[in-house]
Amino acid sequence: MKRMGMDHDEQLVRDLKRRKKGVLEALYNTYAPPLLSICLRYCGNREDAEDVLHDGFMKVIQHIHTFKAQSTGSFEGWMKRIIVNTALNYIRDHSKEKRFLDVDTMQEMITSEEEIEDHVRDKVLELVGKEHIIEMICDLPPGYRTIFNMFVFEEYSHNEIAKLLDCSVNTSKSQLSKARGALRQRILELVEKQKAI
Amino acid sequence: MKRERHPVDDFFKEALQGHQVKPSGEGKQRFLDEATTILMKRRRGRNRWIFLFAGIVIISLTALLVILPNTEDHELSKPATDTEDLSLESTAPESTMLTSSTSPSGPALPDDSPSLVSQPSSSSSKPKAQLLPALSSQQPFDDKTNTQPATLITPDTSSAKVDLFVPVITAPQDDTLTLNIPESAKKRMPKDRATKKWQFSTSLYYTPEWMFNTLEGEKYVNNLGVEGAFQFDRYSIRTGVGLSITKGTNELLVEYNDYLGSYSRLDSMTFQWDEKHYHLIPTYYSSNKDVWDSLMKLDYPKITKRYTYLQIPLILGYDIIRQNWITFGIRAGPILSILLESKQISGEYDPGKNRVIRINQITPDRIQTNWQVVGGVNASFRISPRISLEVEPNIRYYFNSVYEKSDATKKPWSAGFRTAFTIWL
Repeated sequence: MKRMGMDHDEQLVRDLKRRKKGVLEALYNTYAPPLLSICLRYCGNREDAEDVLHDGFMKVIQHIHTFKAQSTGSFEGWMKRIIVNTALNYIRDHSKEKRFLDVDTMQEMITSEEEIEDHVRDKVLELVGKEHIIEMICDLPPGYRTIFNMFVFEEYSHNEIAKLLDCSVNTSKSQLSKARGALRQRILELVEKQKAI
Repeated sequence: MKRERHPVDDFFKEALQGHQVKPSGEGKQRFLDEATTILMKRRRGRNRWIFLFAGIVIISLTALLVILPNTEDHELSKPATDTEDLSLESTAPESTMLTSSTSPSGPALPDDSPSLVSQPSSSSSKPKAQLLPALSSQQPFDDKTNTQPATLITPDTSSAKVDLFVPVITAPQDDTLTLNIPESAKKRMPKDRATKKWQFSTSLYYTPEWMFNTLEGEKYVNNLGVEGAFQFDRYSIRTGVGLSITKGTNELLVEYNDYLGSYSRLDSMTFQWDEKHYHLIPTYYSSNKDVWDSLMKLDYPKITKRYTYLQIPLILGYDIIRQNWITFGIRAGPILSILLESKQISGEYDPGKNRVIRINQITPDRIQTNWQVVGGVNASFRISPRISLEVEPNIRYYFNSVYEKSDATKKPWSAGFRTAFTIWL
C-alpha cells in the first residue's frame, strides 16, 4: 500500500470529522485502490471485493469519530483492520463450502515446504504481472486463502489466527502449509509453461 | 517468538507490494451517495443548533442596541449621585424619588437645572428617618453642607409636568418639600435597585445546552437547579446547586460466534431383551446440543446511558446597563461537575442465540469530576418589584474531557441558554 504522509492522513481525518465537502472523494481516491486489493485477496472475486470495500468504507465513515491517532495508530492501519474484519465477516456470510480442510500432520507440512529458487522467482515476476499473482491467491480455496492472507500480509501469528477464526493452531498451520504448496505448484506450472513456449 | 519465514510468503509479499486495484466508477458513486447522506444528516443536525444559538445571540444583541441609546440619554440627564440620592427622599408617605430614572417617560432635565430640587449634601447615605426632619422641619440647613435651603424651580413645575409623570413639588410656606406623585404612576414604579447598594436574590434556573466535540458528536444536556446571588451595586456573585442530565451512547465491540442450530446427541443406549428373549430392544438417551460457527464475527452495538451530574457554579457578574425594568450584564465563572449517577436506559445487548466471546467497550466511561468555565450575556427583566426573569445565552468550555481516557477526544465546548425565575429578597 502506498504510504501517504502523516500530515495528509491527519488532514483527511480532520476534514472527515468536520464533514468537509469533497473529503469523501479524496478519501476514496486515496485509499480505495490499495484497500480493494486487500478485499480481492480475501474474497477471491471482484464483485464481492467491491461489496466488502463499500461496507468497510461505510464503517470507516460511521466510526471516524472513534479514531484517535495516539491510541489507534495510523489512519491507514486502522482502515486496513476494518477492511480485513469486514472481509472476514463477509466471507463467513457468503461461504457455503467447508472453510477448513482436515488437520494434517506436521510431517506432511514439512515435506511440502521446498524452497523456490531465486532465479525461478525472478523469472516468474518477470513473466507474469501482479494481476496474475493475485489471481493465484484468488483461486485458492477460501480456508487456504483466508489464513494465507492473514499470516503473510496482515502478519498475524498462528495463535492470533486461531483465536480470530476459532480454530486450532495446528489447523492454521496446516491450512497455511497447504496454501503455500498450492501456490508453489501454480508458480512451477507457470514457469514450465513459459519454458515450453 | 521469531516469526517463521517462507520463500512462498516472501515471493507473494514482494510481488504484491503496493498492489492496487482500481475500483469501478459504479462502486465509487454508490459510496459517495450513501456516505454523503450520512454526513449530511449529521451536518443538518449540527447546523440546526448553531442557527438556533446564533438567532438567540442576534436577538439579544439587537435588544441591547435598541435599549443602549435610551440608556445613554438617561445617563446624561441624570444628576450627580449625591444630589439624586438625597432628592429621592421625601416627607410625605406618597412621595418618591425625584430622578429621571423613576420617570422613564418623563422629559430629560437640562444640565443647568439638574433637578427640580437642588439639595447638595455630603451624606448621601443618610437614613431616611434622619433626612425627614431636615426636610420637613423649619430648622435651618447646616451652613457647611447646605448653603441654601431647597430651591424650587417654579416656572417649570407646571401642572403639565404632572401629566408627564414628573412629580410636582410644592413648597409650603414652612419650607417643607412635598412630592406629589400620581397614584397610577406610583403603581408602575418598582423598588429602584439603584438606590439599594446590595441585594440578595434566589432563582430557579433551566439551561438547555448543546455540547460539541465529544466522541458521540453533538449532545443535548439539560441543566436545572437553584441559585442564590448577592449583588453589590453593579457587581454580583452567584452560586448554587444544580443537576445536569444528559444521555450518552456507548459503543461496544462484541466478538461472537454465529448460532448454526442444534442437534440431538446420543449420550448412551441400552438394550433389553423382549419378553420372549427373541429381540433386543434398544433405549436411546440423548441430549440437545447447540452448535456455533467457529469463525469469530464482530458487531458494534450501542447502548444508551443517562448521566446525572451535580453542578456547583460560581458565577461573577457585572451589570453594564441598569434600568428599572431591565438589566444587561456579563456573567462568567467556573462550574464544578461531579458525576452522581450513570444509569443504562437502553436494554442490554442481546446476542440472541449467538455465542458471545468477548465484549469490549469502545466508548470510554465518563469522568467523575470535571471543570468548566462559562461566560455569557445576561438580560434580566423585572416583571414586578420582587420578581424578575433572566435570559442568558452563554458559551461553556470544558477544561478536561468528559471521558475517562483524556486522549480519546479533545476538550468539549458547548452553547447554552440559561433561563431563570428570580425572586429578590
